[in-house]
Amino acid sequence: MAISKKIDFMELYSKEQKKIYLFILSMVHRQTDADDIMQQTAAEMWRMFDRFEEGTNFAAWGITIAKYRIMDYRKKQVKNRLFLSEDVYQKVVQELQTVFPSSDKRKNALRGCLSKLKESDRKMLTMHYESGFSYRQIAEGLRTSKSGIYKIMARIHTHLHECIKRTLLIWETNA
Amino acid sequence: MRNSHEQYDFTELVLLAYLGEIMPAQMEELDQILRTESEKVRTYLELMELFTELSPYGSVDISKSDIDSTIYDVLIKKLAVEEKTAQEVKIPQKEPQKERKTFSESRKVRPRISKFSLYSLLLSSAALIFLIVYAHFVSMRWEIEVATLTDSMNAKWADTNTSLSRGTRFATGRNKFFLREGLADLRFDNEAVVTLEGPAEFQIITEDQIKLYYGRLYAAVPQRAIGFTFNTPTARIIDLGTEFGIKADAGGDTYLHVIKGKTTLIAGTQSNKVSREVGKGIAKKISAVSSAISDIPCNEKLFVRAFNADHKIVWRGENLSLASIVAGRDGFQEVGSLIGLDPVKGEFVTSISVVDEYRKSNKVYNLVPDLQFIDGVFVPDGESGAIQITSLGHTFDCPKTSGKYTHEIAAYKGSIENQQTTIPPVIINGQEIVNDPILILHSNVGITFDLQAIRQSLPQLDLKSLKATGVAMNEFKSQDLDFWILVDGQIKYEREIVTINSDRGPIPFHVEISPKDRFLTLIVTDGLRGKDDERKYPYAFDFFYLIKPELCLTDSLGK
Repeated sequence: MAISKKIDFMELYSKEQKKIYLFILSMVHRQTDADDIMQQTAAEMWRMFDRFEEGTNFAAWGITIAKYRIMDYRKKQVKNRLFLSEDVYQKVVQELQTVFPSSDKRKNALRGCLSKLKESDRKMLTMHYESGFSYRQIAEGLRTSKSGIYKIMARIHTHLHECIKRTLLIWETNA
Repeated sequence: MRNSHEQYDFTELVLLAYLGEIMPAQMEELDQILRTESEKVRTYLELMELFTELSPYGSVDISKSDIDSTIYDVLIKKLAVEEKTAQEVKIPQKEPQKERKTFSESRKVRPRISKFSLYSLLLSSAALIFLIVYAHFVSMRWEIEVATLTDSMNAKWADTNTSLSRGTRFATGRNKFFLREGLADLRFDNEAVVTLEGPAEFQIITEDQIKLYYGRLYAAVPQRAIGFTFNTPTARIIDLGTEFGIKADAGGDTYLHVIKGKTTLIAGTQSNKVSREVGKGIAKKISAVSSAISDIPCNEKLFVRAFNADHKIVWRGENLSLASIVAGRDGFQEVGSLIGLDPVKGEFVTSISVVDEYRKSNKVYNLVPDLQFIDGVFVPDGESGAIQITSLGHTFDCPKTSGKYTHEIAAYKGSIENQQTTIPPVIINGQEIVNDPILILHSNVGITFDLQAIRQSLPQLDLKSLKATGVAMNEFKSQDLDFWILVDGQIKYEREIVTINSDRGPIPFHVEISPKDRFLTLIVTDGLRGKDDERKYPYAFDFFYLIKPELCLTDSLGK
């Protein structure tokens, strides 16, 4: 593939990968499986990039490819994994159309909300998301229970989620 | 409407599902909630989006500082309180981890590969493409070494009190590197070279992608590394075979100056990105506030493009000034007041003598050990035949001269009128030249520059040519001198200058230099064309000025 094509693909992929990953994660809910499917999807998108029509929706094209990967995944994992019901997945797909457009605003709100977190809460997130420690490892390192870590993380995530909602509401009111 | 506690429960269920630790009964509960409470589908998606933003696929940074041991004390106390009130969350038994990680171990994140994807694709003709793409797109989650610190100068890095040594390898990943001060050269495995000027904070995303949070860098990217991408908080620059400088200031504005070739500049918000091609000699500013791209003057001297810590030389794209070298500087530093070199003693002098009598040649070639870029100096006189003009024995068939000189080889910048000397000012079109450095050669003197020593001090650079503007001047308009330029003893330029007047004006010189050339010699000899008694001041005041004499440099990167 010519270098200019590579640059085009990289540019589009860098811009839209988050949307594609969010779709996959929402449909399979398990992070490790979502990562695998994302990698497969990326490889297939790269292979098929010659067929992508310039100017069309790259994220939508990637999601179409991801859907097939997810179908394959479900067929193979039916005994090993737990899934939500089909009508729930349909609701998720519908709701994603309303989530995507406001994604940038929520990202900006998240930045603000992170800065308002207590230092200890932010460091908990850092240990997991940036340093890669699992909840079990954090629990072992801090000599506490894993259920306690789940409680803390649930509280932090809920707090961030509500902070983002409040922030968006304030912005809308002041707009 | 659920209360906070119930909200935590819902988030816990989603977290359990996200981390793959949800039990069947819990999955049924989650499914039931999503089927019956439609607003919870939105919450589920917003939580998934939150996980995504915090993951490597997102663009939000969480940490502001490194974890230290004090956090554990805080966390332990907090957890002690929380655990007392925590409800039991049933966690299913998992298969034992294959590898045990501790806080003291390296923070590598093991990539998870499904066997199906790897094995099946290895069988296909597209396997190679997959592996390349896979390695590229997941390299951020690996700590893969992709660059080497090839040089640093006065560099201080955060979190360490010592300099990192040459040869230190830099890896991809979430780690940010903070160069508190000084300069650092990173050579990537794909041959791209990035020169960083502290204070600068950066992150190596992949083997051909770097993020500059703030600071300055200069990039020289060869053909094989086209596509190398540089991110700042407000822009993305994709190299298309070029050299350019990027500055990201603390306020978030980005400045791009393209010195060679061209780049693609991408700026704007996620939903409104703008892409521009930016070519040689063009510079752009990207505003942090509005993401607007505006034109700014291109400044080729703004960035450190090469440096040599051993020789303490920093290059920002300037040419090498011969006047600066004669003044005892490194060739890039400014020349100040009049300063010079005795052509017989070979000694560096800090002031030019005002002489009452002529000084004579010692008839030898005099080495100059004090100045690394000057091979030697001499007083030319061909009365006894060819004279030596380099330390390796190159000779010049010099004409006969008086064998006398009155002034040292000198250099200065600014007005000469304020300085204690009999040297007349350089006046062109009625104006004294004060803004350019000047090298003064009065008959009879010669100086040889060591091109090899210059090259060794900056191996990243090539010497291309000598250029200068020459003018002979004195208030009596009775010059009678000859000017010579030689390379390894071969005459490249010779000029007979007799009675220059203002109509003839300055003379431009341009002499090409090849990589094999070792020595550059400049010589001024008196003309001896008139009888002594026809000149009121014989041999005196035969000044030849070289205005802004420079060795033109170019970098050799990418060859």
